[in-house]
Amino acid sequence: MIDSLYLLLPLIFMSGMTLALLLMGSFGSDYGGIRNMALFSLLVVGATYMVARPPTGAEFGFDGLFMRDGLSDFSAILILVGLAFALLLSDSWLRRETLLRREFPVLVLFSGIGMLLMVSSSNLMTLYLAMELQSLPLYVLAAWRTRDLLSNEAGLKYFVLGSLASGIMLFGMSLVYGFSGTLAFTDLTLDNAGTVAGMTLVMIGLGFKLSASPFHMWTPDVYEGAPTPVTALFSMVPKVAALVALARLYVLDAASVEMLQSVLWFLAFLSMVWGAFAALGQSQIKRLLAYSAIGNIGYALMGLASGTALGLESALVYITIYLVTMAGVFAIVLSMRRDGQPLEALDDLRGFSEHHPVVALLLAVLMFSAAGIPPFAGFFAKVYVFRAALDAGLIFLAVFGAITAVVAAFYYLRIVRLMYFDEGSGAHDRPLSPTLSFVMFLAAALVTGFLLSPSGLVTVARLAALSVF
Amino acid sequence: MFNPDLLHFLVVSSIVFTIGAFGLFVGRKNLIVMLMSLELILLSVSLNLVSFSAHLEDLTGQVFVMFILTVAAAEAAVGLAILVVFFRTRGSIEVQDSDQLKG
Repeated sequence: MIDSLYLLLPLIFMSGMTLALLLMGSFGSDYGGIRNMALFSLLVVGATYMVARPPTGAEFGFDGLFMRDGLSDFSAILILVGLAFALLLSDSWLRRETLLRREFPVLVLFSGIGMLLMVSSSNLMTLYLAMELQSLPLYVLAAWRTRDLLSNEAGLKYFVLGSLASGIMLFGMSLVYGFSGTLAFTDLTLDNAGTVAGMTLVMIGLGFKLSASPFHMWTPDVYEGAPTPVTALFSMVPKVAALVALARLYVLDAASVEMLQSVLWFLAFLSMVWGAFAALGQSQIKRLLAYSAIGNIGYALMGLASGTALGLESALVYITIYLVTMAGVFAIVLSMRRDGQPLEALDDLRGFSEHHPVVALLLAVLMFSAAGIPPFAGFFAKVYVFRAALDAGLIFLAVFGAITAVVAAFYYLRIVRLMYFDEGSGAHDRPLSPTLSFVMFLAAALVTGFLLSPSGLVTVARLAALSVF
Repeated sequence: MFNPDLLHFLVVSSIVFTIGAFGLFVGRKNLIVMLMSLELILLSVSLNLVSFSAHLEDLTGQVFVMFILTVAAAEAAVGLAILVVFFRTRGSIEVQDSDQLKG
């Protein structure tokens, strides 16, 4: 019992802090204080993950309901970094739009607890509860701008489709339970049709949370309708949690990889194609980034579909680099204003480099990275997933991935063209908030500096991936 | 005397699940109807789990159902809150009116 509590220590601390922040909010603390406390608790939770490690390999707690291993700790740190980025990014924008309500950091933290539980769950019941804990605050955050119809609709759509996905996933879990008699990952064997069908439904539910095509239909609408800081949160963190949960279910044993590979193959293929082609006609930045998210998830799923340690490692590297890139891109999108109004159309980027050469350069670097052009980090991320896919014999998928990467490069580079070669649409507001400038510099520096020592991230991801094999 | 076995329960729960899913896609006129359909989906899964649990003589399924009922309540609360907010800005709860986003 004490061992279980020791494993759960970071989450206990985070839950306690979140509830304390909720109380502080209701007793009238101001937003800044709550935000700083939230950031502080993210830091402490991250440190706890580093310090209070399970001694060796995978450790189970609470009769196998909860587990900690290299994979859960790696993704937990990644999620905490993403949450910290999301909190840092949201401040100035929310203040300008008078949406600065004290519940915001609290809801972000609640959702974060769900994500941390998701990557640590080793039982379908824990997975379901964690996923709901992750989703419910996100539904509320999507509808954060309560007086705005678009935001309300985004929340509504996300809620209805998200609940449907949970329902489908839950139906799959009931089938798995009925046909295999257990909910624990360690006892599951996919040796009959009922279990395989159930598992497929569970993966569909997770694919929805990942916004993998063909379950992506909510993504562009929710990204567009939700307030931009919330969109930034959506595009960074929940995907890590869903990807890791999916990976855990997928690589249970050799039989599960064999049975479920076609499901992941299909998700990866459709996501890459849809993400590349549907983005071509977009004129809104947030919608474009939504399709870009779908496409990028396709690449991460391609790495995962290999079903090898190398594949999982490449997917983790990919999602990490994607998270950092998105943090930078959203820092720039959040700082775009003219006459105090937020700008969200691609056309507003015309001639951006004339007035804001530094920010334009940063955005160009991030776009080159997202397009997979060497020497930026996005290039290495793509190389890793392609190598893993080729290694596992997924030749067709890798070839198709290369083709869609070229198509996707077109719309990333179009942004660069708009900024540097098109007639200006006037200067944007100044000055930028210092936090946003810091995040965009940091992200651009990281995707550029990745070249200098790629082995650092790759080694950590390899250790994490090897812990489940 | 009719004595229902596992299969009967599974058939009923599949029917309820289908009605729920169907209600979401076809009956998308009214938000309340959609919330009811979501409840139906969760209840069908609960029935599934309980009947499997009885069949396997294993309590895990019933424990799971307790959790599902709790989550369903939380989900309904969040859904109704979003519905109220939507009604305040829109003045109706017809989902067909929610066409600002392209979908």
